[in-house]
Amino acid sequence: MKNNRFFAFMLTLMLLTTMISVGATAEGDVKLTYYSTSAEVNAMFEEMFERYHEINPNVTIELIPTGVGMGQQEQLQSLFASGNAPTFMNIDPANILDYQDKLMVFDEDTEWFKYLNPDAIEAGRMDGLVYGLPFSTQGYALCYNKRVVESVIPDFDPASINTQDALRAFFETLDAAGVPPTMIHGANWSVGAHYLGLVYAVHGKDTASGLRFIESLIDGTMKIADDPLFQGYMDTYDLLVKYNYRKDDPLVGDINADDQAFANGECATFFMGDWMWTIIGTLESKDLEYGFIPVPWSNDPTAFGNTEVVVSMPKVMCIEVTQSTPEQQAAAMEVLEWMLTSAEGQEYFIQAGFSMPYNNVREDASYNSMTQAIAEYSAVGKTINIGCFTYLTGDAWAKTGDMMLKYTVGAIDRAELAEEIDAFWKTQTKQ
Amino acid sequence: MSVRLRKQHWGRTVLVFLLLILFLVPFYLVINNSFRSTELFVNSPFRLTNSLDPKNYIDAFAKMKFLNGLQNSFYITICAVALILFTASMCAHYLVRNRSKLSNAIFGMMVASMIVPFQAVMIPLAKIYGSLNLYNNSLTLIFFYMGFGQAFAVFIFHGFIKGIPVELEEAALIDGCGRLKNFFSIVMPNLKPVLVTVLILDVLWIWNDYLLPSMVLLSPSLRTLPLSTFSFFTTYSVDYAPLMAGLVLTIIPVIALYLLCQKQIIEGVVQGAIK
Amino acid sequence: MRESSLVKRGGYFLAFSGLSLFAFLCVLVIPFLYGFFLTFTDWNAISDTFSFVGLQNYRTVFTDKEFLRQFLVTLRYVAISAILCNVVAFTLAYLLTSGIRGQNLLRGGFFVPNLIGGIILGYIWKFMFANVFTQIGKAWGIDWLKTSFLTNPDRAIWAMIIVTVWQYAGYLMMIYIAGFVGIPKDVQEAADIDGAHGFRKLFRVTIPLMIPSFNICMFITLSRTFMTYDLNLSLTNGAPYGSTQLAAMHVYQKAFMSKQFGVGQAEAIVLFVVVALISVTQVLLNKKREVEV
Repeated sequence: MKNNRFFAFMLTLMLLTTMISVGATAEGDVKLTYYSTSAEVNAMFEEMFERYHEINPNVTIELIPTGVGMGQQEQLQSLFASGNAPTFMNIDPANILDYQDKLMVFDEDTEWFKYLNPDAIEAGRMDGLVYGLPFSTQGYALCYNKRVVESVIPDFDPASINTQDALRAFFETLDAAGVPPTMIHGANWSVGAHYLGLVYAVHGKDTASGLRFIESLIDGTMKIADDPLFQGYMDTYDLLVKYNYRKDDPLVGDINADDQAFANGECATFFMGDWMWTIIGTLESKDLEYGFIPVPWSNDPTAFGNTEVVVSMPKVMCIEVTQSTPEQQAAAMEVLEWMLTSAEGQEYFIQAGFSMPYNNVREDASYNSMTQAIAEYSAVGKTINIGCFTYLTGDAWAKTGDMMLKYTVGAIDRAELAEEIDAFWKTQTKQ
Repeated sequence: MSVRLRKQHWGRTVLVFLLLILFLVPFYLVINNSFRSTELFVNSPFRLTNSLDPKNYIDAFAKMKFLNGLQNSFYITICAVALILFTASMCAHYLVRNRSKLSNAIFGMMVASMIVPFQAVMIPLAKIYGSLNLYNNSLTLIFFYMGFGQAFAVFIFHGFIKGIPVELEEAALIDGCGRLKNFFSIVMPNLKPVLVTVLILDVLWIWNDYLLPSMVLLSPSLRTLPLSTFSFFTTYSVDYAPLMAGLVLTIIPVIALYLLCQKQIIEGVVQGAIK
Repeated sequence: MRESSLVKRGGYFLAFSGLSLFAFLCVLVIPFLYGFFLTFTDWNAISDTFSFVGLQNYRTVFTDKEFLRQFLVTLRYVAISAILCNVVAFTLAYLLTSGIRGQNLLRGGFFVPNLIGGIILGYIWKFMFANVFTQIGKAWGIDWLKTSFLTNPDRAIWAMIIVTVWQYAGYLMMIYIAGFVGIPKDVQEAADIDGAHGFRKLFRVTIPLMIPSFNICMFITLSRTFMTYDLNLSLTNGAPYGSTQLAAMHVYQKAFMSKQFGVGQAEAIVLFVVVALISVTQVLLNKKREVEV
């Protein structure tokens, strides 16, 4: 008997909860869903969509919660597979390739596209057509802590580091003064996508030259060990490894700890990008002034790559067309226009610390010193285009990054590293 | 003799308590650091907090949309677990009391299914249920749990029911008691200890599950607590301080349930022993 | 007469196991079969079309050296974890049914690790291994603690094992406790009268009666550890350099990161078959040893 009462209670509870959960499914005029792979600024997107709903009450935009790390790809795939594809989304340019036949081809004559910087429109181009619009410019190289460096070298000029020898001398000076010279973040994305990515990208300013090099690795006509850029960058890498602040345990790869150590001036330089400000900015004790030094690969100060930093537009906004209605697509287009080109929309990105590649961004927008430093390289065209690498889909960065990690701890030597990289590319197919 | 025994007990007690402390260190870290900043956590995780500043809890409460998540988690967990307990205990009873080739085949299939990697059904699930337009719905998720939960629950009930003397039921059936009534009034009460065990294990599984709800529940308003906890994870980093507070908030209901039921488990287990 | 009894029996079958089987079929069996069907195609999980490739995916699986290597790592992890989990859980259950003061509180305490989900748990332990242990190592000058467990291929797999044991020991302990308490009093008393005490009683009387509990616990540990994914993802994510990527995670990566869905799915099937063979053998072997009480 007692049990019957227990189950009656359970059933009532079930019914009650069902009643609570059913109820509010209001009829909105246009309902859009947005998928963000920039998990760190989910809150920003939510605020933006709430504000947009205030000014356009007939449009409701729902942010689909992002999975963690690797989960993002799988979640997006299951959204598409289950017929719940988001109306619009931000994804890596590499993913355009996967979803190409499901994304809107943007009309390049769209009135408001005139606000995009010329190179920004290229970020989302695939096979000559534009599928995505970027919203941020980010960059990476050897970031340095001004207070720490200037405590050793009072009038330090980052432009003075334009050769491998200059970098070596710089590190030696710091080391002699008892300042740990540099730090490598021991995670495969940092050493694989970002560092090794330099080797491919510095083959030329345009995406095509880097891609040509990768294709020659894929079809085996080229061995990476024969490439002077590879050898050059690996020589520099040896230097970084030698003076690595994390030398005792290089593969921990805890971004919180590394960012914090760098912000507290525990080491002078750090191979990382301006996005680390999203963490450093929230710290209570931190240095505020930073700059970037290029990663030199040879002793020729005029060689491409020795005086440039990598600047990329890591995410692009796309609209889905196979599972959304024309009304939804048109509404999404209007939302994008508001987000990307209106003063109000742009303000959200600026406040979040994004440097937007649009020419109507208010000129007095101020950024943190890292973003500012990258923007200065950008303004004078001293940039490396990492496009060839972001155009490669899949797990290239993780696989080659793991090989770089093995090299970092000395589990393999450079010849073995080169062999493994060659072997990896041979398993890939040409895009 | 009895002195020696007591000595032995002392040794055991100390050993077990030491082990327990070792077991609970991570929880000390979580609770302690839910009152401290991420920065302090990374630098000195063990140092005892010098304030009981609820800032992280307030942050976590707001950022996770805690009440919304709590309601969803409750709804999904209660419905799914109730359904699993009902259906699996009845199915197990049938399978034990009606030994046939079919019964054995069903039982074998269920046991085998416990080792199907979730990855093997993930995309097919999305494709099938998505095309039926059943995604983004709590009821679908409850049904999924009911399906995924069957095998383990049937397996446990099966083992337990085997141990209940069949004579009791036979007597009731001869007295003209219907099969359903027989099940609920004779079998169910005997299942109490194992019902509580399965209840707890399933509640823990469903309450904490991340992967399945992340696939099925797309709207933020449907999010369960574990999904909300991940608002502290960004692509490459973790905001530890509010995460710790969020974790504590998420575990409280489960701890409450466990403490509540622990009595019943022991009671049930003891009853079973006296019989 | 016969027909009505058939209807009756069918009704009985459906009333008792209908709902259960319906959910089981819809959620597991059908998707699994559909997934099996997809292993014969070159579907990439995104595109709308696919074509048949026969056994090509399976051929790829068996020539994938990385998968085979990871399978061996997984076997090692499973074997060590399964043994340690059960030894620790059995010992705890034994100690906590021997009449120690506060044993209910203790039982509760050891079960607490199960209250947190695998992913979050992994992140907490990752932090412990990388920051907490290394700080202790540096402060007390213990060399082997100075560097993180997670940055060395041999030690990282031990980190996985430690956390697995930490998590499952309390869970299995519950089952063993139920087993201990379930041993009929008269059997124990009979053993006492016969003069069997301590270890003799444990090995001669208690353990043989605990075989059903062993059976369940072994099955649970084997199937759970073979499937380990959450913990793998959040604790090591395969680090360092892919050496601790267990089979389930490899399956996942192949299907979603490398976008070879058919191959990933085929690996999942192979994994399933191996685990099924091992678990079924184990269950059958132990079934024979079960003592009828």
